[in-house]
Amino acid sequence: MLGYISRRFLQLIPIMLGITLVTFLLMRAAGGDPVMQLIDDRSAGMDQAAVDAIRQQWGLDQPLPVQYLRFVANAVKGDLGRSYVSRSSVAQAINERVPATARLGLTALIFAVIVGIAAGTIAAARRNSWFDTATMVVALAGVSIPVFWLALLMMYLFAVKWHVLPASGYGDGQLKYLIMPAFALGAGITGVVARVTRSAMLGVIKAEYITTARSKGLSESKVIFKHALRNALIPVVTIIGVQLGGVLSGAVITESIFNWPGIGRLLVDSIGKRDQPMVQGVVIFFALLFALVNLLVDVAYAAVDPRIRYS
Amino acid sequence: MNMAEQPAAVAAKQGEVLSQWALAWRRLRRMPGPMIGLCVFVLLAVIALCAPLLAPMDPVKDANVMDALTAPGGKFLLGADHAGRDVLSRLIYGARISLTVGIVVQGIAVVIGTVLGLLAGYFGGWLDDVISGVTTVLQAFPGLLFAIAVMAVMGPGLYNVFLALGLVGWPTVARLVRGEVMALREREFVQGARALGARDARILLKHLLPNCLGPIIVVVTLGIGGAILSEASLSFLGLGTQPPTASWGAMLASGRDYIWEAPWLTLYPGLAIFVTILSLNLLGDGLRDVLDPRLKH
Repeated sequence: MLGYISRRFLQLIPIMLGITLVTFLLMRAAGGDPVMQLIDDRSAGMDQAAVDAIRQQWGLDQPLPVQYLRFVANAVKGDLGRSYVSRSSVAQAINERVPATARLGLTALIFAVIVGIAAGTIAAARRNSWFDTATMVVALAGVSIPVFWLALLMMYLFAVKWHVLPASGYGDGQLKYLIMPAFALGAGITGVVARVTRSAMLGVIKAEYITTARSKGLSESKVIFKHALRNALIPVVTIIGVQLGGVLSGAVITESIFNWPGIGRLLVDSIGKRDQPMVQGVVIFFALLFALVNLLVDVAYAAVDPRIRYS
Repeated sequence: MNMAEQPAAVAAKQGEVLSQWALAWRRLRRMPGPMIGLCVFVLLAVIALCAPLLAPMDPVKDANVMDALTAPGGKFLLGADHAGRDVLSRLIYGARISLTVGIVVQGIAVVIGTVLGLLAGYFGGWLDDVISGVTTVLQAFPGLLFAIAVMAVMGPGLYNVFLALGLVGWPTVARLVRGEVMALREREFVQGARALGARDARILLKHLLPNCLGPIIVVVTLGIGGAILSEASLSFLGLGTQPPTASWGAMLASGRDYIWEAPWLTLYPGLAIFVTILSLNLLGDGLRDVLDPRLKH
């Protein structure tokens, strides 16, 4: 088991290098001369010596492979470079915004997991009932609805029309500011979790050990929640790991609609300001976080499921 | 033994030979959800094709500031936007953009993904290592993030949307095809073909590719919806198609500023996207059930 875990962590290294390389090359490929972006907002009539000095100061005079290796070496130490716009540390800017994004993302994810698993389980246990049909219709709608549209609809109804919730912003962290963004972000994932839970449960309910449990005279709720659900959870756990990707990229949209001071809005703002190091830093941070969480999910269910061999 | 109860035997008795596709269609036809999805999607395609005949006004040129933000009803059935353009006409033309994006993006993804997936799965070795390595890295970027980064670098525009989303879409297809091919390549019919002297190209195209088509169709159907949603999201963020082009995502993005006084500017484009994605998801779910039950989640 320990060997498996360490092997999986070693596999993360080439993926991380791949992520940084692809992002780095992408940013440099079509981004033009970064120095021009740097001096864009300063005096236009700068002489060549001054331009060269800036180029050297930012390490942009080095060949591209050297720049990349420097970037990786610094990234390992937690330094993702400096913003072209504010000249401040990219890692620090991301770090400052982690709490807001974590608060929004985790709330959405926890909501989706609780509601999705509960609805999917009950739907499977009462297959073909009105509850089942209604749950699956709502789940399909949740999967199909665009995040930004749901967000705007809620904003219109709850903020513009009925004045029950604030339209946008973070407030002082009050709960009422969190409700709409978290729901908009979580709705799609809730639908996915409900659908996966239901179909996994339907697969498990047919198994012989469930018949055995029933014939032992156990109550139906005990059969469903103790025997069936536990075994149905493995595909659900996998899909939750995958859905984290949806949370991260959904946060970009949700945060920019609701003016939420998180990393997603930082990305959109930085794109608008053509702040290449900041865009690069956020993209790499999100991708690494996603890769790491999926690895943890793999390890977690390898530990839970004895059928998975560690080879 | 009661052979009459087996579908194949029934078909043989009626004197017809049913292909795998005909059988799948027979099953699909009896499913209400997927058929509703198919009908809605066909309707949308017809609307997109006949846009000039159906739209009451020009989506871009017929702009009169005097009509700005007119509420739905009368001359403007679904209202007018901030430039006085007819929302209904823009929605009808927007269907063209959305469907084109969905089909072109999935076209790119299928061509690249199928070719690379076939090669990786069939030949294995270093080729597989390289292709799988690239798909793993590209899939390591969560959701829309890589497309956002590509658009941020290349700048907005419809052609860049094709490129960015095609780039993001192919690894899914490649991974799927690779897995199918790896499972099939040691099977008897492939070994038989090889023993008969068939060349690699023939085995790939005549024996392996047809067996991958079912799962590919499922992934592409769901992928078209995904691409439409992604284009709308990118345009909403200001990174996709640009005004004054009538794209549903861009319409929503500009309508957002008038949510207080003109909510119809956000209501209808979003509804159009929602209905389109819903129809494709309904159809995709049904196709998955009849073409590839193993893919179920």
